[in-house]
This record gives sequence, structure tokens and C-alpha cells, in this order.
Amino acid sequence: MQSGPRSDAPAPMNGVPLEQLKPLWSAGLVLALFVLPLYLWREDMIFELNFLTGMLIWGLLALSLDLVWGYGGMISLGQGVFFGAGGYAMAWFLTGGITHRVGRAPDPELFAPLFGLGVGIALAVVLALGIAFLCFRSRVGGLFFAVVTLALAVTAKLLVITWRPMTGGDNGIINIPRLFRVDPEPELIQYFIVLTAVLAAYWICRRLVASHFGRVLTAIRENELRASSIGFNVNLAKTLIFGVAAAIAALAGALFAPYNGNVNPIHIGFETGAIVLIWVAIGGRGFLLGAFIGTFLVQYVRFYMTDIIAPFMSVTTANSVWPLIFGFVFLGVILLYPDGMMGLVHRIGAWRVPLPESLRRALAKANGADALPRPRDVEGARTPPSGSAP
Amino acid sequence: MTEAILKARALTKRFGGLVAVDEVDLLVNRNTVHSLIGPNGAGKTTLFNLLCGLMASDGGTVAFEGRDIGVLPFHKITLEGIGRSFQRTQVFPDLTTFENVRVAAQTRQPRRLSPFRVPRGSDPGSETALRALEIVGLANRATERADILSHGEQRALDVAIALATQPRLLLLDEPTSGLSVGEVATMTDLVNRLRSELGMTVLLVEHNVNLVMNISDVITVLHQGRVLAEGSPEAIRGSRAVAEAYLGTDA
Repeated sequence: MQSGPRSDAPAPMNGVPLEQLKPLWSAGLVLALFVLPLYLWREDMIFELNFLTGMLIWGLLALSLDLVWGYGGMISLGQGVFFGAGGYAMAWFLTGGITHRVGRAPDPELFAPLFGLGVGIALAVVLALGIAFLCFRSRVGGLFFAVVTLALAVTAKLLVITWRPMTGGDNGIINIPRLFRVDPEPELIQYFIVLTAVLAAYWICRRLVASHFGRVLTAIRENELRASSIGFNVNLAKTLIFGVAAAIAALAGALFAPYNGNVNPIHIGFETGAIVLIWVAIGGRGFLLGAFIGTFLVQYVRFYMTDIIAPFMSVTTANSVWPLIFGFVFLGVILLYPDGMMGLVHRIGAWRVPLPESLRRALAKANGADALPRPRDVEGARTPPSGSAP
Repeated sequence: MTEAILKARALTKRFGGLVAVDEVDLLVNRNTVHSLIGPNGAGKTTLFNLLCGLMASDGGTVAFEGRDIGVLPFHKITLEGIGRSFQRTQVFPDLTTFENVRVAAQTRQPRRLSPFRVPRGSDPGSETALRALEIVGLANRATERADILSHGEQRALDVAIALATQPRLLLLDEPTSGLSVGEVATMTDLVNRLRSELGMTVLLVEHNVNLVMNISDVITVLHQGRVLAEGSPEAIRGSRAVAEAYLGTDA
């Protein structure tokens, strides 16, 4: 039990837990996200800026999986399919390809991104709702649902490889231009477009999981039988959240296509669906923010550790070793630290810091006087399985 | 003077060749404690699952307050006014005790599935939830996570979750299973209060015969899927057929 060691700790109880400073540090984080790129906007830092943009996009994909897995309790290996749907749709419109692909008049360039986004999201949502409806109607749940999404990912990849005229086959669609062809500083513009989309999506998800619907979803994750016995349509709620998550994954894909300059079958397949699972597990599922932390951590380590291990092995060897390493890390985290990095974040959040009375009162106000009773321990923290001392 | 709240007619459930529940008629009167007892495999839990819509029946009807509920899916039964607890404790382990009951109370809130409505401490649902915790004696555990509660507390929480949906009929499936002697007494007291103070009707499956004899107004004995006897505790205690079903004909 986690409350034991904390209660007999000698720490004075007259401070304020760090987690109550949430309004401050979240404002700080958002500010940093807006200011940092202005610092990175230099010739020699373009790589770092683009890396950050990429992390936000991948984090958005991880966010979609966190909704499905961390809140809906469903393991999906097929988030890549919805990501790919968004990516390919955006690629069609941005390359003007859709016009000679379906033989219509050229789209006005300004609206191309909007059409791409709309078509991508619609495609993903229809697909997701259809799959979820069929699965849950025939009572396919748990691991079998994961297998169905895996099959979806494999099928979608094959379809994309085969359907050359629309998808470019194995090579995918290349030379995708940026969202808005503005000069100068397209990277900076791109970063802010992505950042805006990510913040908006994150805010929507935050609201969603705190809402009545989100609470029911959490109850379903915890115990489907109980959730339905207190009057909630479990299949409906699961289907809906799968659809919402698909829309977010498609948004990520739509941002990714112009960012990356090409989309190919790898992005739609099982490879993407599986790596996202690792990001979310390492970041900690069921917290939303964990999705971004996990994505950033894994990708950062992967990029910069490659330099460090380069003297010891060739790049090819390193590339084949990484999946192995991450596989083991994934297993370890799942078994020992089900809360991932967010477990650590919450542990730090429980530290108490002394604060002046005025600031304390302002914080209490910001945190909401009409809030629900909060857990005595860290909210939402899962205890590791017995026998594994942290 | 009494009025039936639940009426089951000729309820039947087959599992392959086995008839688990065989044309059972059941009448539960309002504001009573009605117990279902019977040897293992008598069909008690199956009958329970038929009544609350968890299983589809192979024949027969169930009417609650005069409305046919036999055709409703499981999750809609709660809104009709029937709450249930489970033989194997069913709570939401990762959530706080309070959130366990609050989400149950949410089922009676306006816009109960709204993605825009955020629950607040001042919601009527939050009050219902706190009250449900007070009734079962868990109010002081409101901020604890459900999975650190003791087994007895989790059994009580299971009942509180059902209570928070504001049922008029409560189905309790072996509420005392695995409880200590002291906890059984608390649970007995709770069931009594539910009827006398809250005017609730309780239908109960129970193995603890002493408990059943103490708190029931009516007892129905099931044996091999059929109703073997029905009546007051005294009548059941004196019934030769019941003794034979439990102990064998040689007893």
C-alpha cells in the first residue's frame, strides 16, 4: 500500500503539494512551447525545430491511442490505419493528385488542406465506427479486439500497396508540399500550425475525459459488467470513443503528410500501430499528457542514443537492435510500472512546497472550489502488482 | 394490502440439454425482503440474471411495476428502477470509493452521457453518491481507492453502487459471501434498514440460512430449476420437502 510509507515520512505537512501548482506549470509549459521555437529558429537549429514539430505530431497520434486504451480500456494496434487515412487524404489534396485521380477540376489551393483534413477525418471515423460497431455487436472484446485491429492494419497496408493509382504503391506519395506555401520561414509557420492543432486537440480530450461521457468511459475501462449494470450502454460508449480517437489520429496523419513530405505504407501499417503502443505505455496510459511524454522520451532517446552507440555497431545493426531494446523496456514498464513516466510525475507532484498564504488561496480558487472529492493518494495512480517494490 | 412490484411468469432458461430455470413463477411484493435459497445448482443466480436482463430467457415474461421488462437489454433495466449487486464483487478498482458511486448516480442525472457536462461537487448526483456511501457506512472512505478497501468494504461498496442508481427494487446476489461474522451482522442490519427506512424492496440470493430466516418476509426455495416451496421463514423451516432437497431423502 502506497499510503503507508508516505504517512510516516518525516516531511512537514504544512506545505502545498506540487500538483496543486498545476495551473502555473501548465501555463509555463504552453508558454515554453510558444517561445522555444523562436530560439530554435536559426540556420543550425532547423533540425531541432523540425524534431519538435514531429514529436508534437506523433504525440497527437499517441494521444488518440491513450483515449482508446487508457480510458476506453481497448487495445488497438490499428491507430496507424486512421493516421494513414488522414495522411493519404491530405497528400492527395496537397499534391493536386486527387484531381487527376478522380478527374475533377483542380481544387483551389487555399482550401486543399481543409479538404484533405475533412476527407481524411471522415474516412477514418467511418472506418473506425464500422469496425467498432461490428466488433462490439458480435461481442468481440479484449484481446480479440486487438487482433481485429491488427488484421485491419495488415489489410489496410496491403490495400495501400496494391492500389497504385491512388496510393503510389510501395513508394507511397512523395514530394508533398507544405500546408501553406508561405515564405519565408515555412518551418516556423508549420510548427505553429501543428502546435495550435495539438493544443486544441489536447484541450478537447481533457474536457472529454473529465465530462460525464469520460467518467462513464473510465468506469467501462475499470469494469464493463458493472458499468452496464448501472445503466450505461457500454458498446455505444466504446464505439464513440473509438471514432473520436480515429478523428484525432487522422488529424495527426494530416499534419504529418506535409511535415514529412511523403507518406508510405509503413505509416499505415502495424509498425506504426505498435510503436504508438510503446510510447503510451512508457509515458503512462490514462493521463493524456503521458502520451506526449512517452513519445518524446522514446523518440529522443532513439535519435540521440544512436550517436552514442554508433562507435560500437553499424547503423544497420543499431536499427535492428532498437526494437529489441524497446520491446524489453515495454515489457518491463507494463509489468512493473503500469503508470509509466506519469507515475513518476505524480510522485513528484505529491512533494510539498511551502507557499505564501496569498498564492495558496489563489491556487485553491484556480483549482476550483466546487471540485469533487479527490483521492487521498495520487489521483488515478495505479499500484504496481504485488511483489514489485518500486 | 401488498402489491406486487415484480412478477415473473413461466421463466425458463436452458443451457443445451440442461434446464437451469424451469417455468418459474415469482411474485415479489413491494417493501419486502424476499429471499431465494436452494442447494448449489438450483438455478438461483440464473434466475437472477434472467430477472435483470443479463441473460435472455428461453420463455416466460418478467414484469416490473406492471411493465414488461423481459425484452429490455441489461443496461436499460437500471433506469426502470432495478439495481443489483454481484456474487463476485464488481466495483471499479482504480477509482475512488466516491467516484464508484458517483458514476452510478450519474445514470439518473440530466445529460448523463454528455461530453460537455463536467460533474461537480454540488451536483445532485454527488449528493446521492455521498448518501449511498453513508447508508452502507463507507462515507469515511470516500477518498480511498476502491482496490485498497477490505473485502467486506468492497461488498458494501458493491451495494452502494446499486443504491446510487436509486432503485426501487434491489437484487442482491449473496451479499454476505466471504464476510466475517461481524460483517454479516452489519450487512443484515443494512438490508433491514433498506426496507424499513428507505422503503426499498430487496430480492436476495443467499446461502447463509440463519441470515435468510432472520431478515426475510418471504422465502422461495428453488430446487433443480423449479420452485419447491414458498412462504414465510417459519413455513419454510417446517417444510419436509425443503429439508429433503437440502439434506437428501434419507435425512
